[in-house]
Amino acid sequence: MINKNSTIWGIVALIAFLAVLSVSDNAIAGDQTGEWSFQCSRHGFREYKNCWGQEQLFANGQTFYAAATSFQFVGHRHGRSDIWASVCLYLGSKSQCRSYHCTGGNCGPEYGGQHPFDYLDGGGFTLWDNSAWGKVYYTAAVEDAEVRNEGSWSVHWEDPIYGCTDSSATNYNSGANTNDGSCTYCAAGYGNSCTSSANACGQTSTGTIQCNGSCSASTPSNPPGYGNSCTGATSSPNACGQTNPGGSGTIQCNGSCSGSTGSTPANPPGYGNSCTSSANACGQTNTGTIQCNGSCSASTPPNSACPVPSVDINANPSTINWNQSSALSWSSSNATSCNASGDWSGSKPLSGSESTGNLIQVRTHTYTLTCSVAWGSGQDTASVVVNPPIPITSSVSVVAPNYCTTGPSITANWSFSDPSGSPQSAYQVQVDNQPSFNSPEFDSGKTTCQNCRSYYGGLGILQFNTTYNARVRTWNTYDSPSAWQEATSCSGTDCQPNGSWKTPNHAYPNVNSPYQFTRSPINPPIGQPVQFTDKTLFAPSSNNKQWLWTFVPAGGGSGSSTAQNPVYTFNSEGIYQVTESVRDNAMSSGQYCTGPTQAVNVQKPIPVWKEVAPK
Amino acid sequence: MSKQNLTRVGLVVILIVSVVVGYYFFYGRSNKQEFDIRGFNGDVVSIEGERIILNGTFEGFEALPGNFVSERDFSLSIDDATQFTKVDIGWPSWDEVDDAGGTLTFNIASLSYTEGPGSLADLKATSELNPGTVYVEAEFQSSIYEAEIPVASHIFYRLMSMPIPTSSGTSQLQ
Repeated sequence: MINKNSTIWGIVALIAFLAVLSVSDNAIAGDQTGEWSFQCSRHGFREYKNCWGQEQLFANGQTFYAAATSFQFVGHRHGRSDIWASVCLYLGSKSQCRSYHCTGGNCGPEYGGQHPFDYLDGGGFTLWDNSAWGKVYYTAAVEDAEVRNEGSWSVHWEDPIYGCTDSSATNYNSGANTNDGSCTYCAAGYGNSCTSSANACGQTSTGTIQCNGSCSASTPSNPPGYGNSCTGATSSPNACGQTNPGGSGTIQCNGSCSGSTGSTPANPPGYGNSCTSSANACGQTNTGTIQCNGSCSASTPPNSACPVPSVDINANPSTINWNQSSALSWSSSNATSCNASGDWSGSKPLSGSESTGNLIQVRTHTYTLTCSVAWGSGQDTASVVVNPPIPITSSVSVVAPNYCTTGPSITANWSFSDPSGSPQSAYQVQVDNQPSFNSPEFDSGKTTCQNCRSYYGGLGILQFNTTYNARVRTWNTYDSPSAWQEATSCSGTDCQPNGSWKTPNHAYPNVNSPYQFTRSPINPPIGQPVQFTDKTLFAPSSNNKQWLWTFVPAGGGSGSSTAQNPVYTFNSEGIYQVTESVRDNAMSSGQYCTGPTQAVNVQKPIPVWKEVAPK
Repeated sequence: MSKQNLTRVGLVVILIVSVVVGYYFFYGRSNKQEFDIRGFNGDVVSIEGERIILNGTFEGFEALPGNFVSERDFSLSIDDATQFTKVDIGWPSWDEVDDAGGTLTFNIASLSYTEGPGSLADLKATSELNPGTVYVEAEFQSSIYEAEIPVASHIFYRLMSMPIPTSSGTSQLQ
């Protein structure tokens, strides 16, 4: 009979059984400990007990990460005692040993009743590694002593994690605790220097051996263009820079081309020979050499290089008087034709002479001559200055005056003419007692007058008994003066030869103010004496001076006086003509010079007014 | 649900469990694997003639099934082709221990060592002089998985702990 409870428990038991089976081969992480059991003892002297031992660290068959062995090596000295002991712990690839040696008291107190063990060392080892194998090896030699390992060991393990646990491997897995043999290692020589394979030019590069055994250096690429088709070096140029290409080849390792170098071509035919340029307008050429292109290096001279015509013209004389001519003469070079301009015109020969003809225009005349060729011309000018016409003063004569009435003066007459017909514009008269006219006593100065042909002057200036000369010159409308022309004839009193004249030696009235005499009062009343004062001019050498005054009334009658300065009383009303005549010994007998008559208006005296008191 | 039905359900469950268990043991346990084991490492237990008994583990035992992991005695043999290589470790002298005050701690990896030709006789003598502390690494040309007394091709051996002290460093104490 199977009841309900028994069925359930059966199922549970089965599941538990299966669970245990399923994990029986699997690791269980954890710790494991054990007790040391090594012991080595010897009682008695002179005999040693040699001991060897080993103890396995159990880890339940699993890889454990660490083995911490805490041991206490203790010794028990019986007497003399000599202890030699060594313990080595191996854990995977790691190991450590400790060796002991003590003698006598160095091994602790002597054996007692309680057999105490004195510690030789209590530190132990603690090694860490991931390993499934750990072991302790002992060696010992004791004399009259006992040594043993007390304490415990312990390990810690974890479930295996497979991988490469060798840190020197290329695929080292730091997370693995169980080496699965998959470690791989770099090839021999890893990191050493290596050289790449050579390129076509034998060039290599240097690198280091890689983990996979290959060299990090890569084969250098061939030099740029290596092996490509190329042309050899171009030949050196000839004089014209022309070259020939080199032969075909390939680019070499050093970059050069295997093709042959071209040969230098010959210079073009005629190159460098002498040649002449084409001529310019006047036939000039330049000399050069034949160029690379066959042309001549010489260029045609410019027409400006041709000789320019030159002209030379002169006028002789260059200054002429009115209505005279000048001779023009000229010459030219490098010209083919000449033309006149200015005050002449027309085509002229390349050289020659020509008269200007009489010139009557008072100005500068220009005579320009231009001579030309196809590429240029030359020009020159000659000038002729025409002076104005000179007027002519002629027929100069003087007329001596009546000195008793006019005093010493002169009247000059002349004639005027001008070759150009220009009228007189001015004149000038000079009188001098010297023929040189260096210091004329009288000079009219340049007096503008077109129609004047005579001049009266010198009154009051000319002296007694002096011979004078007179000269005249005139100006035409060109303001050109004539030459001085001296008087060549004289008419009147005391004329001298050659147109000169001589003033008289006797007294003569003063024809200028205050005239010959003065009076006071000017208008006398009847019956009032009038004082007359003589003003006659006498020569310094004059003597036997005589005066004769006449006072002639309007109705006739006479009155006279011979006093030099008479006082005369007019007794009747009217106008009286008063005349003074004088003479001296220079005059001929009975001759008088009579001055101008003065009219005296004699009037009745002014009534005398008497103030009468009113009656 | 009646008792009869519960009984039926229980029988069905037991049947299913039986099928699962049977499958597990039939396929899981009977599916044996072949392992390529080429080495055994362990301490010399004894040397008799050309037979060497080692106590240790298979090479690479970490990756082997659990029944190959634990230490065991393993017998092997040698022949004329077997090579012996002895690793001599430059252990410190006991004078150096004394100079260090009676206690000297050192790492074996830091010690110098030399590898030289060994022999079975030397292995045997060394093992007898240092019982239990001579460690052998035996290599085989073929897998020793489930092999009986395979012939080693190469044997490396060395001392795993400081040698027994000698009197004044010149004579064996024993």
